[in-house]
Amino acid sequence: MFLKNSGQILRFLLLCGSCLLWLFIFKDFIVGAIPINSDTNSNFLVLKFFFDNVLQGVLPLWDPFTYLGRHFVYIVSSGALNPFAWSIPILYLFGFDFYQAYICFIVGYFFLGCFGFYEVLFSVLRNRYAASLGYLLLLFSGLGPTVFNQIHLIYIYVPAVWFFVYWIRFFSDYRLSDFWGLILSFMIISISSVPFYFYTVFLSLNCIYPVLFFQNWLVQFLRLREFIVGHRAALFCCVIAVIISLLPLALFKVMDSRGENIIPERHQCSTSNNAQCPQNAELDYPSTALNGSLGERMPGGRIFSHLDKFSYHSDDFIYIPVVCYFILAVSAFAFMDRLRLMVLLWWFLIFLTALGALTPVHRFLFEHIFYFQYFRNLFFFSAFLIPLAVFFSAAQFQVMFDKFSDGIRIPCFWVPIAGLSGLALIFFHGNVLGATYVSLGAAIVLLTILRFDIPVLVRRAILVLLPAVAILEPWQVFASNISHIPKYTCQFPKDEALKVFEYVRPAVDGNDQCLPLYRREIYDVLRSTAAFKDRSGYFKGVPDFLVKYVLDFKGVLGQDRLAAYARYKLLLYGLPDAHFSFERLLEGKDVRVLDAPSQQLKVFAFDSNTLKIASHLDQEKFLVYNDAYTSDWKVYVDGKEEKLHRTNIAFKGVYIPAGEHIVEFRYSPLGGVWVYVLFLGVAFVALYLTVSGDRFRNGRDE
Amino acid sequence: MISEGRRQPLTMLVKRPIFWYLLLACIFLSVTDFELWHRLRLRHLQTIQVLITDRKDPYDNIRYYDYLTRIDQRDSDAFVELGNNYLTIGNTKDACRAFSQALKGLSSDSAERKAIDNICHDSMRRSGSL
Repeated sequence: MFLKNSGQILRFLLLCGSCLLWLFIFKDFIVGAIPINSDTNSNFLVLKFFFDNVLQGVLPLWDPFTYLGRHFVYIVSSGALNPFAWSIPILYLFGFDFYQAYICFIVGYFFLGCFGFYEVLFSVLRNRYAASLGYLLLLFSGLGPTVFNQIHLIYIYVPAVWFFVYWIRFFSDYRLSDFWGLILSFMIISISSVPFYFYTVFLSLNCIYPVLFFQNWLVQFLRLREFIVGHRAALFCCVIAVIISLLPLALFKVMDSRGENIIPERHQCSTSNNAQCPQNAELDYPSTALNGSLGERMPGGRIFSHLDKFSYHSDDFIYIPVVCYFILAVSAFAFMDRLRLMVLLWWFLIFLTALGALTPVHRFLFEHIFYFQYFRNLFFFSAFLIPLAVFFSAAQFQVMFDKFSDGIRIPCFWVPIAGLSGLALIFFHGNVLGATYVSLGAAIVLLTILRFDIPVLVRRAILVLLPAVAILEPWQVFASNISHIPKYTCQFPKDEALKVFEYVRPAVDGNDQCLPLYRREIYDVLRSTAAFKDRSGYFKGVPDFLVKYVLDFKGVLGQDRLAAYARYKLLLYGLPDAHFSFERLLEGKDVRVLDAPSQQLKVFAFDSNTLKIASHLDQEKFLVYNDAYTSDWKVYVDGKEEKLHRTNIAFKGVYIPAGEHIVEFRYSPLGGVWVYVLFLGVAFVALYLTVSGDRFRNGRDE
Repeated sequence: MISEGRRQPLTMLVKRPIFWYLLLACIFLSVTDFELWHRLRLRHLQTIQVLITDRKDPYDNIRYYDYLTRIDQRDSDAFVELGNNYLTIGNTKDACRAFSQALKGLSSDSAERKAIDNICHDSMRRSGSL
């Protein structure tokens, strides 16, 4: 029996019971009555495309269905390489549909992050109660609802918190398995969403920690050196693993630097004026510091008002239960040690950074740290700000009611004064939920009683009641918001899609029934991707990531002519001319359009990365494949590489000799699929070594 | 590792959190450009106002922006706007509640009042709010 005493059973019940309550509150999402939205929506569609391909034996590097073909950039940033995300195809094979499997994964992943938070709290505070309270407050914070509309916050947060779990464990015991845990977390951070948020947070901690804990830092540094000397071979493997983990991002950077791919939305340039688009992913200062900064998204001073009116379409619910604020206020006259000061300063530094252009901190970092040019949406730092605020609150709760507070005790009158002031504040705020008053009022009574010397039984009863009081407010907040969500009836693609090569693209795109749900057209586009369905050559709104030559083509021909031209994927030109005129092309001169397999040309194999054609021509001709050209595409005729021409501005063309031949177009970017296969292999090995190390530790502890 | 520091009091520094709260609050107030903050939120509000109508969701970002402040300040136009957004998604009850708030600030012969009366009079009478 792994639960050995009543304390463990209680903790187990608390951890599991709170998860069950969370699932009950968000049941409409779980059962699919309310569809996932915003970036969670797009993440689902992208992962479905990825795992559909995987189930059919292909690791997709190219997406031939969107914007006339483009690099499948999401393999780096969507969490597809996260070992835990591979539970999706496994669940699918066990009979779940894709949507259910995805929901199981994201919810389970969020819970994993909350368990990690509990581990960090307990490792640092060595107090089960404070750790449990912090865990509950985080579970019912604004981080929870983002599972269903901004999954990238969870992708940023979960590996980061486990990184710190293993960081603390490693610098306590100097065990190799914990080092592998660090490596695994780092690898997942590198391929889940944007890793730069974590780098910044980690960097800021390493600025504060040596200052406040210089002696500890020095001792740990020296012991680390000893560890490195004693584990050279294993450390060599770890370094290789780190390098491998950085490869996907580095390869993306190399590809991006060639300027063949572009993100018009990110660069905020019009598609009709694509000449002004910068040719790499660097952002100017206003783009990073203003758009999506915490300053833009934060509700300002009205943090307790209208909590029931959070929009489902908004992905920036920066919410912490009122009990947290109360604990922080009550503890204002309590005790402060270096650990708590470190957490407070750490939070403050991240907060100033996340405010973007509103403070000089971000500009300084932008000018001195290169990677600040590569990411925006600084409100994503809330993935750290919320947990750190909850951490500080739990730590302050501990210090108020623990014995080690250096003789300092909060004045008797302070708890009710702080509480009543808080009640008055939210009353004058207006539009505050009833549960906020109840939660705060009950917390005032409980903490006031707890301040006195009371019988142990009463003290325990209060400590059991307090978490229940703390989650009253978030319960009403989430339930109210869920009840306001407009009911949509759209269906998500749930079953495995089969890759089929269509010779003709649709003339126009159908009306998507989920369109009212979306914030941007990109989700509509991705739905076709997830279903392996071609789209027309019409681009709605500002396209997402696409090949620059396609934009050039659109700039020359215009939207309608582009769509008309791109309807047919395969064109066969007569005698080689070396001069291709658009007028002749549009008039159909010397060009044969292939709208079905024929004796001359027949597609016999197709997947996301390759196209194989059997040809039987009576004389040499020029084949144009109307799928976007990049220099990473190769063409082989009978297995021998031939020159691939960029044809008609944006597409691929090759000369095919007379007679019977096999023509193969193959997408071969630097590193190919092997980089990602290697990454996955190392990640799974690191996962095994970490978990087996944890099991060994648990066995030893027993 | 970090937990060892737990029992190291700040011998040289102030031990009460209130000192640090106030210090950090002072730093925050001195380094933050509040005028830019206000402009940033206004700019975002303009974007969101369009999106609210497009997405047919009156709650869209509502609590973040000055729109809400206007409602809190009993700004009639804001209530009319909110009511119209409710009407767009077919929520007559909430629309009429918003309009009834707006009526308090409008003269009886104004065009807006007449429009609101036409839309909501029956509904409000049924619900007893008129």
